[in-house]
Amino acid sequence: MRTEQDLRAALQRAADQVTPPADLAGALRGRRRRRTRRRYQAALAFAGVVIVAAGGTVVLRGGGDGATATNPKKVAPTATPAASTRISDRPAVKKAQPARVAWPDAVSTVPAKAGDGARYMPLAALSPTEVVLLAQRTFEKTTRIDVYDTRTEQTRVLTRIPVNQGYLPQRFEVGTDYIGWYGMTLRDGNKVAHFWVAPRAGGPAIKVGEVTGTSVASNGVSADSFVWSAFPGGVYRIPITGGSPEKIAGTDGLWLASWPWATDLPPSSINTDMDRNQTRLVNLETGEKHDIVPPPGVKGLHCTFSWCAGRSGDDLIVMHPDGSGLSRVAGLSSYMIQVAGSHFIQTGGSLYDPVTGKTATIGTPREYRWAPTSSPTLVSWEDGHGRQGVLNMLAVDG
Amino acid sequence: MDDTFDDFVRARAGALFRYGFVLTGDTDDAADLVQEALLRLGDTWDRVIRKDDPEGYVRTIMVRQHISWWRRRRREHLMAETPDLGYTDRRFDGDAGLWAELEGLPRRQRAVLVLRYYEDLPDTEIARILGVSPGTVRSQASRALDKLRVQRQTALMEEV
Repeated sequence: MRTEQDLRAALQRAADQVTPPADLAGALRGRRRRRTRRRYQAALAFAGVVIVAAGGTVVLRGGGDGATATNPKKVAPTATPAASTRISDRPAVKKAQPARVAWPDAVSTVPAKAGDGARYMPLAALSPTEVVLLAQRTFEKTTRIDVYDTRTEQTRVLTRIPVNQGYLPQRFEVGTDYIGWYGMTLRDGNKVAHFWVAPRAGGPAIKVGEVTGTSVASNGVSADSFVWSAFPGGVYRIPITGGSPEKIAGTDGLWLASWPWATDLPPSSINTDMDRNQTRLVNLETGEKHDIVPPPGVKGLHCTFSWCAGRSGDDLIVMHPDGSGLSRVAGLSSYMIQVAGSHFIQTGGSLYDPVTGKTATIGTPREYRWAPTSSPTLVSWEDGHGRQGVLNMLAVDG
Repeated sequence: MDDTFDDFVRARAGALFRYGFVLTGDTDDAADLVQEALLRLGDTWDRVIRKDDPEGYVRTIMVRQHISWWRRRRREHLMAETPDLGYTDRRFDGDAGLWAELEGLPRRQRAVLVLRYYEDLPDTEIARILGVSPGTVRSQASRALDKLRVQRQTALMEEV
């Protein structure tokens, strides 16, 4: 049997024994020069191109070479342009400020540790002043859910997590009435998912049920059920009051994004194609459906009910799910883009507000965190003074 | 801008290439990966040096590119060439079998091992870089270590 040290040594030995190409830096300079020339030429050829929003079908032009530029008439042959929006209509990205400066009324600090020494991880905002904190005694092992009031600076216990179940509770999601989570175990070689909820108002944890043989790609909680997606797709539910799990009709090829919304884009944990665009967004409660039309050239487009965000070269592309509000934000592209709440788009350690153009940094460049739930209501960071900074999205703009 | 970027490339390209090689197991692929990632870094250099750590930024780009769109190119590459294990054995003394067996891992599992045992990153940071949950990082690492017959010092189930 090998040890972890053997593996460490093998990787280090391989790295030590390989020889970097001598001309790597030079080759890179050449490629950058060529690309700069191409871009300059393309910019001359397409100067003044606008984004055209036509009858709900959106066509994005520019930034490519002439041979592949899209002809809007071919894409939307029956539409008459109802509106032409210049790219500059979107508020320009403003110089990034720390979140505390950008939204002073919405940023506060919460404790890094509980009185009993447990480490706190901010999960969500319940109100403009209430923050849900996961109390973790050991790495990632949540034993309690607390609520901290940033106005009164008081903490209360929301629920205690049953421990020693043989698994780590994970993926806590906050619904309108409940907070839900799950754990996975192996029994006789089969995966068993254990589903739990606790009342959002506080109270004992409730074991909703155990389901054998399912994977959990994403999970959430509705007013009366624990809901989840399996890896191959499909959205399932099991009533909180007890009962059998059932597949929600019409969810083949869909994954739960954040209850009640489902999407045809697999969750990032199982999506191996970062360029794949979302094309459907379905409300599983009301049946409301959006067919999303990714603008040509856009990659990695993903949408909540409020905003879509994707990449186009070095630029961030933003629009609403119905195609309105399409805009290009220069230089803000990233492989790590997340629509965060109804206000923001997070790219790495930056939050961008597409309505105002306000941009803020969160945490430090290497110490920012991703919004911790599927429908984020906060982002948090180490504040460097033994506490944690929290941007409460429910407190932004009142 | 270009002076500081060129300085960064000259100073760090070698280390980034070695990282790329450990990630990919292939020198050609490593060079391509480094170049693509540095091109992206160069495009956003002004922004990155203002509020980010360029080395961390480019390493994140590399691993994510390696796992995602790059997969397709790698598949073609593997079909075109038979891995030459004899070459690998000569070049990497010690446990050459372990290095060769890394080739058989799914790309994401290999990346998790490289980030954990070569980059010495904690699982939460690995999760952030890969855009997955820490639980997924642990399960991917666990599966990979099992395949490589590497004994963990602390098994996950003992922690629970």
